[in-house]
Amino acid sequence: MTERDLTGRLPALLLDDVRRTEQPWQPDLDSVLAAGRRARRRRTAGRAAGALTAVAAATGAVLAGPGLLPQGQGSGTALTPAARTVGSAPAAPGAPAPSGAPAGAGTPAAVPGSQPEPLLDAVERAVREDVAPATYTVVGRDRLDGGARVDGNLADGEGAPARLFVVVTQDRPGTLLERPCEDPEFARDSCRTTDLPDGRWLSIAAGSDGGYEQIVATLSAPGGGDGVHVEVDNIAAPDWTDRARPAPGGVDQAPVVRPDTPLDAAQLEQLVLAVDAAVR
Amino acid sequence: MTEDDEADFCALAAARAPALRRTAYALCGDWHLAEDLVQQALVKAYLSWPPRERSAAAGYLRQILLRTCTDSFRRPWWRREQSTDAVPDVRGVSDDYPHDQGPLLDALRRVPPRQRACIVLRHLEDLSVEDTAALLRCSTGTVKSQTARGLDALRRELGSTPDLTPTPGGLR
Repeated sequence: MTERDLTGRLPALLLDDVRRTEQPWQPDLDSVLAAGRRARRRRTAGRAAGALTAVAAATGAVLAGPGLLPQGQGSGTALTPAARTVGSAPAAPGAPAPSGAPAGAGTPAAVPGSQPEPLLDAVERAVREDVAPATYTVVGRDRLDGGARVDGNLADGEGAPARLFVVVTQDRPGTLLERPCEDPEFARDSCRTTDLPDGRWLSIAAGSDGGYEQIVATLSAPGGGDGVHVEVDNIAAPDWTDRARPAPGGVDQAPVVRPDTPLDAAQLEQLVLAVDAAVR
Repeated sequence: MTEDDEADFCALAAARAPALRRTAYALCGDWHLAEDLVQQALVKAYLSWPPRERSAAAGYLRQILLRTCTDSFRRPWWRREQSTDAVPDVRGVSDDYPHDQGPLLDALRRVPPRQRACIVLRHLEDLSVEDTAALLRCSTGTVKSQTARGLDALRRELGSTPDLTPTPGGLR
C-alpha cells in the first residue's frame, strides 16, 4: 500500500474500525457532576485554608526566630554530604525561591489549596523524614481514585531545588505495572527490578525524559493495585495552580534547574520503602 | 456555576460523549479505558465551566479529552493515577465488548504512543499540524516527523493485511 493510498483512506478506515466494536454508551453525568461539585467545594475551601495556613506559617516563623527551630530532624537518609549540610547551605545561584513555606522534617507545608488529609499528610511526613536534612516544599497534592499524589521540590543544598513527585496507589487493581522494567517507556536507559521478600517488586529506572534527567522507582504488588511510585527530576515542579490540568501534565514545560537529580537511585529506593511503610 | 450553566454542560456532554469516546478508543484501543478517559475529561471540563466562548465549547471538550488521553500515555505504569477526582469506576452498558479489533486499529495499537497520537489527531480528528502540536505540547516539526514515522510503522504493520476495504455501511 502506498503512502498516498494509506493516508487518503485512513480517516474512513479508522472510523470504520472504531465502529466495528462500538456499543451504545452514555457518560455517567451524575458522577461527573458529583465529582465536579466536590472538587469545586474543595478548591474554594482550600483557597481559604491555604491563605490562613500561609498567615499562620509566617507568624510562626517570626515568633520562632532564627536558630530556635531544630535542624536536621529525621532518619538521616544517606544523602550526599553536601545535602546533609543543607540547613546552613546558601541557596544555589539561580535557585528559585520556594513557593511554599520551607518545611523541615515533620512540618506540614503551606500548600495553596490543600486541606488536612491523613494519607497525603502521611506521605508528606514520610518524605520529609526520609530526606532530612534536605527540605521538601510541596507545590501540589491531591487524592485521586482513592490514592494520593504529592508533588514538590527537594532542596538538597547542592543545586536548585528540583522535583520530587510521589504517587501512592491503594486498592486499584491494574493501576501499576507489576514489572514496569518490561515497559520500554518506564525502563529508559537502565532499569532493574528487585524481588522483595514479601512477594512484591521494587523497580527503578533512570534516564533522560523529554530533555530532563529523571529517576523513577515503583514498588508494586501482584495485581498492580497497591504500591508507591516516586519520580525525582532535575526540573522544577510544575505549576499546580491549574487544578483542571494538574501535574504531571505540565512537566514537559518545566525548566531544567540543575544538572542532576537531588536523589540518586539508592536514595530513591530507600524513599519508596519509607513512604510504603508510612502508608501501609 | 448557575443551573443554566450546568444544564448547558450536561446537554453538551451527553451530545459529545459518544464521539469523544470514539476518539479516546482510537488512541488507547480499549473501550473501558476510553470511557474512563471521557469521564475524567468531563470532570475537568466541569471544573472550568463555562468556557469563555460558548461557541468553542465542543472544541474545548475535545481538547481536554485529548490532553487527558495524551497525558495518560506519558506514564503508563501508573496512568490511572492521573485520572480525576473521586470518580467511581463506571462501566459501560456491557462488559463484553467484542475483542476482534479491525485490522487498522490492531496495527495502530502497535505503533508507539506519540506516533499513534499524531496519526489519530491528524487523520481521524482532522486537526492541523499546528493544533496537533499545541495539543501534544511539541513543535510542528515534531508532529510532522512523528506522523511520518507513525505512518511508516503503520504501513509496515499492515503489510500482510489482505483487505482494508471499509465495511459497507460502516461509515455512518
